[in-house]
Amino acid sequence: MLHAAADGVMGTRLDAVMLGITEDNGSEIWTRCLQQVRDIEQECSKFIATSYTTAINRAEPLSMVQVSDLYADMLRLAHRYRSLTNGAFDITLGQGSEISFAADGQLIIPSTGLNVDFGGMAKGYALEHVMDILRNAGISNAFVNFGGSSIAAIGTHPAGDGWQVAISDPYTGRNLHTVTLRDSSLSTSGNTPHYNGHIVNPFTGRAVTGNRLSAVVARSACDAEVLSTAWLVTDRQQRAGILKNFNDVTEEFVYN
Amino acid sequence: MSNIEHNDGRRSFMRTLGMMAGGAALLSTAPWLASCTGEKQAAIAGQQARIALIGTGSRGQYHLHNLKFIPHARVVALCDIYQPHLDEAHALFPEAKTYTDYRKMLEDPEIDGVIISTPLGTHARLTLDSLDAGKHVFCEKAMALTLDECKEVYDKYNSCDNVLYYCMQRMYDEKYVRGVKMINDGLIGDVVGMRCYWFRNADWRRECPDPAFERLINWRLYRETSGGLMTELASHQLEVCSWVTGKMPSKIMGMGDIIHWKQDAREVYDTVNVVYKYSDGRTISYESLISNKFNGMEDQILGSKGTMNLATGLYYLENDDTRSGIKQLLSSVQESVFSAIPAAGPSWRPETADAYVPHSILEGVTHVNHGQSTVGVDHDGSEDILSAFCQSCITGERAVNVVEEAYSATALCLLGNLAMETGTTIDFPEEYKIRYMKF
Repeated sequence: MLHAAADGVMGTRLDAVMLGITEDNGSEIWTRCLQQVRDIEQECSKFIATSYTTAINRAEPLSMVQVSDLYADMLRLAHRYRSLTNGAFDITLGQGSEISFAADGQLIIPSTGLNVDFGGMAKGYALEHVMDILRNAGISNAFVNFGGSSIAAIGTHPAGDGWQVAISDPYTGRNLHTVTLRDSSLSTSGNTPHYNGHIVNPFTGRAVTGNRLSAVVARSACDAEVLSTAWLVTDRQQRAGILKNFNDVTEEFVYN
Repeated sequence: MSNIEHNDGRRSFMRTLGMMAGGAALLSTAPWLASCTGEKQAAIAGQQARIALIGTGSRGQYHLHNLKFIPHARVVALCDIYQPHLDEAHALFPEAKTYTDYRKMLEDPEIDGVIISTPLGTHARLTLDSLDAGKHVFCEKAMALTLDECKEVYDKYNSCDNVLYYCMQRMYDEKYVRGVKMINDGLIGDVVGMRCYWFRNADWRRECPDPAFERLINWRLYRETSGGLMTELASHQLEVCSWVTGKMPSKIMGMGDIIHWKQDAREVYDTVNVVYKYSDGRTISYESLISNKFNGMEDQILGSKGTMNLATGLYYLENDDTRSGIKQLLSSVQESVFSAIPAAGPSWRPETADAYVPHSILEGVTHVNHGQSTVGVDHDGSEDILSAFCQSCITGERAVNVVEEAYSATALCLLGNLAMETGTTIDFPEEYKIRYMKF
């Protein structure tokens, strides 16, 4: 068993527990995982001055911005998520801006300008890449925790039929629910007593407030993260409609 | 009841120290505890040290109450020049002889050890005379009112075989011992600084029915008998700093004044701010005032990876992975136990300072000294160091480093006062350095 951890990744901590692996092999794999996550962060973080996100958010309307293939992939994926969630997940925070590319691959900034924020998606997107690296390296049992809000697991705990995770209420510490992950991911979104108002409702433009917590289990870590964000701004009926567009969600909850 | 519970608690820590896992390591953190381990306590079972006490005021009576629960001590003599206090003490131990002249008392060969809880200005004289009389001595902190007195007592101690203790109770407080061990083990990374403070909101006066006794009863307020907040409060806290670092600061600067309690004729500052600088650049920031108690009292050790609040017995980590559940997961994999780990919740953000999670040095221990008592509190190590002294009176075994730590801490207090009075930055004077000190 190997445990690897890194602080200061996407504003939080990344922990990985890998089973049935040598230390040399494991640390080489971990180095690749960490590099991948940091690359994604460098490109998409709005807190990094040299990121594409910063460049796009500062770009003049109708100008063109050259982005990497990876970043273009993230933009297209985010665009698709907005349509799959009927607008409940929107990296342009309700501006509804179109994402379009010129023939040479450059991003076209719309006439209204563009303001993107990958906050509700980046960790899930990065976690999915990490899990791909682990699977491709032949690891069949692993548990990866990205700051507690995005967790993914491959295979099983040596003594169980999956990996059990308890979701706790950040306001009371009370255990709200326990899920078992097996080749699947859990994402949790919401406010905490010390960190509030960071999720914006794209339908109203207002921040989500109060003790509201959502959790989604899906095969894809990115789907789970996007949906747990969308779940904070949708009602039961809207969620049912959105779920018809996703076939990998196994559990989903909202706690108020 | 609380005393009985406390007695049991003390026994469980001190008695098991030699045998418990990590006990040897704790002894290396606090080598003075070696004189009072459980084995050595067992070896003196049934024996009693004959104890005399000079100074039966509030702190003296506090010690007397504690002595009632120390089975290897018998109080045989009490001494004071203030009759009301002597009467109160005598009521606690009616079988003890009473004296108003300590020299007379010291002539009694039936006394093994003397406890000195008198005004600071008398510590040196009483200690020297008691040692000369062949008695073992337990003296209240600080060591003495002047550096010359400290040096004289220290030289005397080195030229005799008597036992000498100073009531530096933090050295016997389990949460300090374990907390310092955790710091030594690297829990909070490199120690990068220390912040010690003690805030109260009270005039520090004792009721004085007869103005003739004002300077005796309220000795803390006058410079001929007291070093003020530095010797009475800071001495404990500065000792902790030298314990943690194993070093002494080489430069001292500070400011102090009487800013609030101006209505009486007090001479000692009611507000002090002193900075101590080590040769490696680290500092102790010391602050005390007695006209606002919001901040309470703390001995705070700042590390590159965490913060140790020794007084409240809590520590905080800069990058706290204890909430990630990963540690629990690792042991569940190792032990092959399948259970849910409490890992999931909204993203954990280390930069949110409010999210520091307190961890207890001692599991389940809730006794915290908020520093508001001007006499003493339970469970702060005072009973343990007194018990250790009584044990030493029987065995003759000294508690290593206790006198050296008291000397070092007292020197820092007195130099802090000197820095404030002169408004200058003071280099630790060569003539008051002892071999124990590392700069």
